Amino acid sequence: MEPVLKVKELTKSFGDKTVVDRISFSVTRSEVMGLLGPNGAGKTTAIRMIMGILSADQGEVVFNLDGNSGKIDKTAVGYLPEERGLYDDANVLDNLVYLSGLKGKSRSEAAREGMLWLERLELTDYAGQKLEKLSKGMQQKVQFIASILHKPRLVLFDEPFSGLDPVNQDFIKEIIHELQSEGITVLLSAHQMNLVEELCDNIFLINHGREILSGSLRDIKQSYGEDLVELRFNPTEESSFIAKIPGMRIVKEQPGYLSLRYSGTWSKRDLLQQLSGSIEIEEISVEKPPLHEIFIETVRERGDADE
Amino acid sequence: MLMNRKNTMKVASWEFIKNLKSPTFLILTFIFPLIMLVAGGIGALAGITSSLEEQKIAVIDETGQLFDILESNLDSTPVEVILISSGQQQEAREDVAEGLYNGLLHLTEENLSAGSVSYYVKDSRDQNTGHLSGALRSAAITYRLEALGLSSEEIEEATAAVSLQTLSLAGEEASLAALFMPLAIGMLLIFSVMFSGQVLMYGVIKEKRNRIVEILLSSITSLELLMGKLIGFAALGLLQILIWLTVALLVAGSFFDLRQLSLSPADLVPSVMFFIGGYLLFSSLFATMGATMKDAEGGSQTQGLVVLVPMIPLFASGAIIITPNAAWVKILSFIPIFTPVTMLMRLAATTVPWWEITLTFIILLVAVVLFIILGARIFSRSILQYERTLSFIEIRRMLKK
Repeated sequence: MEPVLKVKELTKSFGDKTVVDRISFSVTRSEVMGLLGPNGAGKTTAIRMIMGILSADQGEVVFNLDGNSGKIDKTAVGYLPEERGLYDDANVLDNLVYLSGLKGKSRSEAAREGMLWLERLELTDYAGQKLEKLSKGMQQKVQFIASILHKPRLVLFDEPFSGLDPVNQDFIKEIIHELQSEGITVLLSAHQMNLVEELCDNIFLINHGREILSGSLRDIKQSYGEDLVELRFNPTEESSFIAKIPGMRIVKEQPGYLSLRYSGTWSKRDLLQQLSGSIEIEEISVEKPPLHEIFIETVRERGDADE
Repeated sequence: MLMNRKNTMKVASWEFIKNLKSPTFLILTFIFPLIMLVAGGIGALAGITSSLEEQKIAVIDETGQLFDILESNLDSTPVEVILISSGQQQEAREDVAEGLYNGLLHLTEENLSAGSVSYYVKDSRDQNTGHLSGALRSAAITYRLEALGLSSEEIEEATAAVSLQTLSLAGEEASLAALFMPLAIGMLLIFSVMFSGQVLMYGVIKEKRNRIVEILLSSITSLELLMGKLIGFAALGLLQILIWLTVALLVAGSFFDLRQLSLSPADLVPSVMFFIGGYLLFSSLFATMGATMKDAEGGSQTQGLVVLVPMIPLFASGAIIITPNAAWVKILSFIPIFTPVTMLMRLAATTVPWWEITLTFIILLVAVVLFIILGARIFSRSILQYERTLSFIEIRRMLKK
């Protein structure tokens, strides 16, 4: 499938500091791609270059939103910046109508659909209020609406979940799922790895401006060397043999509880048989570690190796 | 940088409407002229009330004749003179001290021929002697002429008033109002430019501070944003001027006959041209400065000083108005940053040759285009530098790139 967005060898330096260093990736239609990385990794700079707000020192960003590949059509792209900003002395609906108007949406349509969105995000009562009267979380939701009100075909969300409570995080997650099912392509950066895991098809992990890990989330997890093993058992039983299994590493130990990492050669099935044959197991789970841990591990190993 | 006119107009109308509703605009537009009016009114009123004040003045007349002339001269004024004898002098002094009389005038042959007459008041700072001194001066002349043996008809003929009538070479009559009005218009234009320019600058700083600019730039180019703002604020400034002019003409119309101004709308065309040109020049300068600043209070105040530069001719306004065709004023007219203010004042004060108007205007236009292009360049490069105010070295580097 022809990618909607293609980033080639994108590079940006501020002074003698290279903030984004030859990153390349592509996003296909109705895919949700996660751009991940620790603070200061260069995510926001990369997103700003993709949006055309910053010019790249080197490299290229190619869009293919309507079958013709070429430069960005800003009316077909939505953007939620990391640093939120709206006119706080104008009312909520006026903000929405103006900003989507700059994206080519007519006033009446923007007002009507804006109201629908406000209703959905439980902000109907605030439509006529000045933005400064709203809490930070509410402003955040208004900002989110502003980024998708004009029905873009590609959306860039820079930290869409930061500053939101779990209920509102779920709202946003739900909407992103919907966008995806409508064929809209999403590129997002986030720190909430559980949400990234639920949302993203592919991830692109950068540190110090360079790619350190990328690909489909499932593949990455599958190819991740270690399994996470959690075990509850009868505390009176002898369990010291477990630590001696080749490739087994104890992360946390409590009477009757073990949290382990396994990177040995046994299959899951063999592992389960070995364990259950030796002690009385109350509960056991063997799974790939959450993205959170893969993220931290990868950043630590690959990130530092770059230094 | 490409420019989409539609986007520019959207920004312009948003800025226009948003700022129209802002308290700053309302205050500047309605309170400012009110303050000017009140300040001007108090001065005028003070003059009027002092000339209307009723006065009672005791007069000792040793000449025996002067009092009658003085009394008839003061007939139509609120000043009343009462003749007393020399013997009552001590009594009259006490009356002045008690405030029964405003003053005591002592007329003698000696001090009349010496040309200086004594007038005693309770407080020598009390200087409201306009009517009295005028009446006394003409009374003294009449008295002296009578002493020379002239008849009252001959005296009247000799002392008939002559007033100076100032005419331009074209034969137009100059009046105080005719001089005052264009000057007032010029000043209004200058103030409007300065005020709105500042509002525009703080608007840019605010957009930068609350990060809205990043959203805007994800939809439109920085040139579209800058142009939209300039157009929006120019429209706002024109509206402000229109309001001020309407108010000014209404107020002025109630004081004097406006027809004697012979001020046709065509006379205002050059002023309006320089107003709009100056507007665009200063606004692009102010907007650009705003884009390089972190906040309005912030670190480097150099930018704050830059926006004062166009006002420099304003400090020399007195000299410019008195000698609007002096060589240094002409030179000032041809320096783009000073052109609008200088030319607005000159246009008010004199008839500027058409070639000078044309040439300075062309220079101004070129400068406007240059300012906008360079401004947009600095604007786009500094508007995302949220954390700090840019130094002039950095700004110069941006211009070179």
